[in-house]
Amino acid sequence: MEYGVLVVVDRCIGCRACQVACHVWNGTEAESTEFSPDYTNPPDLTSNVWTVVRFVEMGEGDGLRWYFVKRQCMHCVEPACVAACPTGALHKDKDGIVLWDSKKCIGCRYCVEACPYGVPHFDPLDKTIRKCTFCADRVREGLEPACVAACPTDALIFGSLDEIRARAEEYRAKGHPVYGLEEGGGTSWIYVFPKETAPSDAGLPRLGPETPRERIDKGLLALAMAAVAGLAAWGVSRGKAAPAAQEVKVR
Amino acid sequence: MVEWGILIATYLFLGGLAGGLFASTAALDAITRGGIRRTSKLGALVSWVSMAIGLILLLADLGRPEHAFRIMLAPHMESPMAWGAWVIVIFTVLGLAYWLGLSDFGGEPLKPLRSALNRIKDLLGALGSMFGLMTAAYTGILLGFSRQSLWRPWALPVLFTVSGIATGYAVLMYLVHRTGEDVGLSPAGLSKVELIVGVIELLVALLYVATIPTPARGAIASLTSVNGVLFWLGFVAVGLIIGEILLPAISLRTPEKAPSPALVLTTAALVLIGGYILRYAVLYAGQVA
Ligand code: SF4
Ligand code: SF4
Ligand code: SF4
Repeated sequence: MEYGVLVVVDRCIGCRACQVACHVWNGTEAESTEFSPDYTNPPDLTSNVWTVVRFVEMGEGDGLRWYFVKRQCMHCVEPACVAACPTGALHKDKDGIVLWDSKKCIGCRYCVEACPYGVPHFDPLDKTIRKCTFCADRVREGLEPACVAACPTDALIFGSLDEIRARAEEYRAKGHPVYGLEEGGGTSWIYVFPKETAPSDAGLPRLGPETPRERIDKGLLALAMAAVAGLAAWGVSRGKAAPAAQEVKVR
Repeated sequence: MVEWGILIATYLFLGGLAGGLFASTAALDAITRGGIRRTSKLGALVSWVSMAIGLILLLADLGRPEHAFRIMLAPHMESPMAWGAWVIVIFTVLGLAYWLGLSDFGGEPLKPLRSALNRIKDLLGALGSMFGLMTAAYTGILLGFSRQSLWRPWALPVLFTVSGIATGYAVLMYLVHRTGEDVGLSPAGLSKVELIVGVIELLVALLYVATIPTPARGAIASLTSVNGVLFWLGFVAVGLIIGEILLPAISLRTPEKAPSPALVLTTAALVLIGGYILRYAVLYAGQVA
């Protein structure tokens, strides 16, 4: 069974209990931060900060409100990070959790460039990448992820991916913008946004339905075209060979 | 945040140069039916050394270079970086074999190997050109599989390939000039090729900028950013318009005369500088856009 989480944005009160729980459970060091203009703190994910609650203003006119949007690895259905990783250090397990094997990581940071959500971060001390693990060590023992367990308002709902998708569809039918059902092939963490707001306002990228695999296939096609061009350039030159020069070789 | 920096920019440049130089060298060698042995040998060597330096820079950039063997021995073949690594390694082997077949390296003991390689020189030249241009294109395809809007347009691998050919060809022209060998083409013919490549590259460069999605385009299209200035002045104006179009056009005005040493050298220098700036500007701008 694959796991999923539904993030119901307008239930979040911005308490950051999830951030603290994530640090406590995973033993990741806290970052010393500074005041950031939009109150998001720390300002972004890092190799130690695996989840962060973004403080964003969304909506229009009288509907303009402050919302809190928790970010972490989306555990994509077709993860770009996994596709990019040249050594298979990053992998997606049967339960949908995307994990990395630090022994296999060579520190190329391709996953960092490839992930549409800017999630994996290279740790200069560990010489490997680090990111949210979906609390695999809890989930696989029948517990909820630490952040979900800590959430006081049930803004985070943990379940099977099928169940989470079904609930997201229900919200969508009621007119809520939903993120993660299709984007880039879909994600295991799915967001329900308040009506009159847009996921892109909260910094979620506008992704088409193109999956990483489809993009890689286009890359392979481009590579094949370069191969043909190289071969053709040589062949045409060979065809143009000057007869006078040919004698040089015969001699 | 800049995750890939100067080492990667240099590697992208050297990969394109190596691929383009090999393909140009093998093509000219084919046209002359092997009549320019010294030039071909030098071209293959410079190409191979560029690629080797590029690979060293690539290794130096890794967090754990001692584990790099995994890409070759236990690769995740879906990854563009994994298939690209294989393309590059095959290219370096072909380039080395091509050069060895033309050289006197290793004296008597290596003679049988050298003459065997020399006999299959055509095959090595054809395959090397193929893998050379694949290497040049791969440097752009690698960037294309990312979230960076500036790297995703499909014109980028085309631009990197054409730029690789242009830089390689400029170096080859310098080598031809150095060895003084007869390439069987008139000086005008050689300059014309350069000019045509320059015009194609200019069109591809404009297409590339035009196909970057709007919010990100400014990072390279606008002259208010450092990378924009580098791109338009360093790459487009100096490298492309002056180096690849104006200077070859000047040589064309005296079609019978070989261009002066100063002109050949200046052209090569400008084209190389432009090619380097292209990789640098695109790589950095892509990560801040
Ligand atoms: S969000 Fe990024 S790191 Fe997480 S699975 Fe998707 S591509 Fe990988
Ligand atoms: S940095 Fe590590 S995990 Fe990321 S793509 Fe490279 S080898 Fe894979
Ligand atoms: S699932 Fe676990 S690792 Fe991921 S954000 Fe929540 S607490 Fe952190």
